[in-house]
Amino acid sequence: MENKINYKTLLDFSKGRYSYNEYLDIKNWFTNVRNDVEVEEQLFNQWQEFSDSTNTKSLHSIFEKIQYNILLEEKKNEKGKSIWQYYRQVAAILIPLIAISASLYFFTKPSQTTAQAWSEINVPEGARIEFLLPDSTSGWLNSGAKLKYNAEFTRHRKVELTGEAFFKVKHRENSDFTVGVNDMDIKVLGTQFNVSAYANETVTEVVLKEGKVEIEGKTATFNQVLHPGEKISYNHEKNSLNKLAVDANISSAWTNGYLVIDDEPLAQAAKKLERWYGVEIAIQDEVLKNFRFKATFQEETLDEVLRYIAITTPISYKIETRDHNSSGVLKKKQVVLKLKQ
Amino acid sequence: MIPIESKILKELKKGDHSAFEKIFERYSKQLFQFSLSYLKSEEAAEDIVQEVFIKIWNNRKELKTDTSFQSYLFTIALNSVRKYFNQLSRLNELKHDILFDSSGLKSDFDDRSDYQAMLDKLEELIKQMPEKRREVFIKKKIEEKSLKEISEELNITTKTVEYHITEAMRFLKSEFDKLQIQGLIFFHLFIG
Repeated sequence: MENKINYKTLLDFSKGRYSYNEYLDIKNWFTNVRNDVEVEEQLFNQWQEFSDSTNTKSLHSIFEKIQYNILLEEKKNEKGKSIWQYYRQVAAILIPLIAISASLYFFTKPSQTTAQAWSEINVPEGARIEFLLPDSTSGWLNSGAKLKYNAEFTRHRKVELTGEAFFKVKHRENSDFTVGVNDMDIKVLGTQFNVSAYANETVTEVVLKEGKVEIEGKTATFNQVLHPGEKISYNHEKNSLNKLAVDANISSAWTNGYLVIDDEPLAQAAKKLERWYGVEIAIQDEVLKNFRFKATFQEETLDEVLRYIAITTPISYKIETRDHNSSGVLKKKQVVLKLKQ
Repeated sequence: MIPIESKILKELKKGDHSAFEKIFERYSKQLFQFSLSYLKSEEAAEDIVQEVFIKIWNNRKELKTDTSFQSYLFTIALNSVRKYFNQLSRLNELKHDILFDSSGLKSDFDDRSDYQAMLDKLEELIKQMPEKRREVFIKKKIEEKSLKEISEELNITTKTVEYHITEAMRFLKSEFDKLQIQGLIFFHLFIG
């Protein structure tokens, strides 16, 4: 068929104004191997006009499919050099050890050390502790958190935190309360809020439930006022600050024994699980780190949680046997997550 | 829009998944819209997005970070669109046949500029059919199955299959007739 398409035909066709015969012309151009450069240039111009397409529905689900396919492909190519067979054999011998070591989680007890006037509360991994400070400020400390405070609270009440905590600050006239974390100071009046500032995380998060807090960066110069239902995330590596509206109850749900994973990528969820259960989680497949999921657990064992994840996602898990380190102490329980075969 | 930085492309070359995600976020909608505007099928456009990005990932090591990523992406996209034009060609012929048979417009049918509007209307009308009728109609007219096959699959007699198809075509004809009388399908609808 004679090729008679021009820019107008292309434009009309792409916008839905065309006859069946025009469709045939366009189809013939596209399916013809030897087609002219001119039309291709016109198409390229059109292509560039689409570069600002923003009003399209989210395509993220396609991205997940892509990652899944890439992963399957990579797995196929890797077959044969798997070390899993080795692990399977070792596991058979060492399984009884797991049972014994399970009880060792809570081996470490919270210790209270006093250095001058400072007191410190240390929470072991896998545990959560409710605290009450001398000024009647109370709250919860999450797994692995550390809270330092001066036993003699004066006009300026100041505590230092590493890890995650939920504070119910007791309001006192003429006395401010500051929570210092590695990268910011949170100044409060009477209020309830959640702070997550673990030493091994690049992001510090503060979620305000009630009242008002003022946040001041230590290294970077920022100063932000937070209102109820707002969350501030500060990444001290990238020096980026993010503020958004959240459900404050979700971020403090852990104080009621809930482990909430709120549409988070697996990499982030795994960190939560690590702290919650005092284990180490290795994500075997890089791509899995971006898989998002949503779940709330209450008083489930690690095994139950992992089983749930395995049912609802294309992930399989394996709990490794525990090793001893050089000084003969049992290392943390290791969990390996990988793509289901 | 600012083109994607060569830094991100370099990270992609090394196999960085988050760089890949950034590139996806940046270009997938453009690719989707372009494909959709030519293929007129969301399903096909989604398939293309998937196919093209898998290609980009698989060929990431050969990626040139100094030339335009836009042109590179366009070339891959165009190839995929070509392929889908071929794949959809039979389906489009079948839809054309249904429309031609039911529209009542004969002499200039293939030159009417409102072809897309008729296709959209057809989709809408098919959706309005009673479930069983729609099922039979699609199996016959789109999946090109024989009366016998359909009767076996749905456990109904071939007479019933024929009945559903006759009724479906009658329904389409009467609806298209109504639209014509009302002058609803016309090119001037698109002006302005």
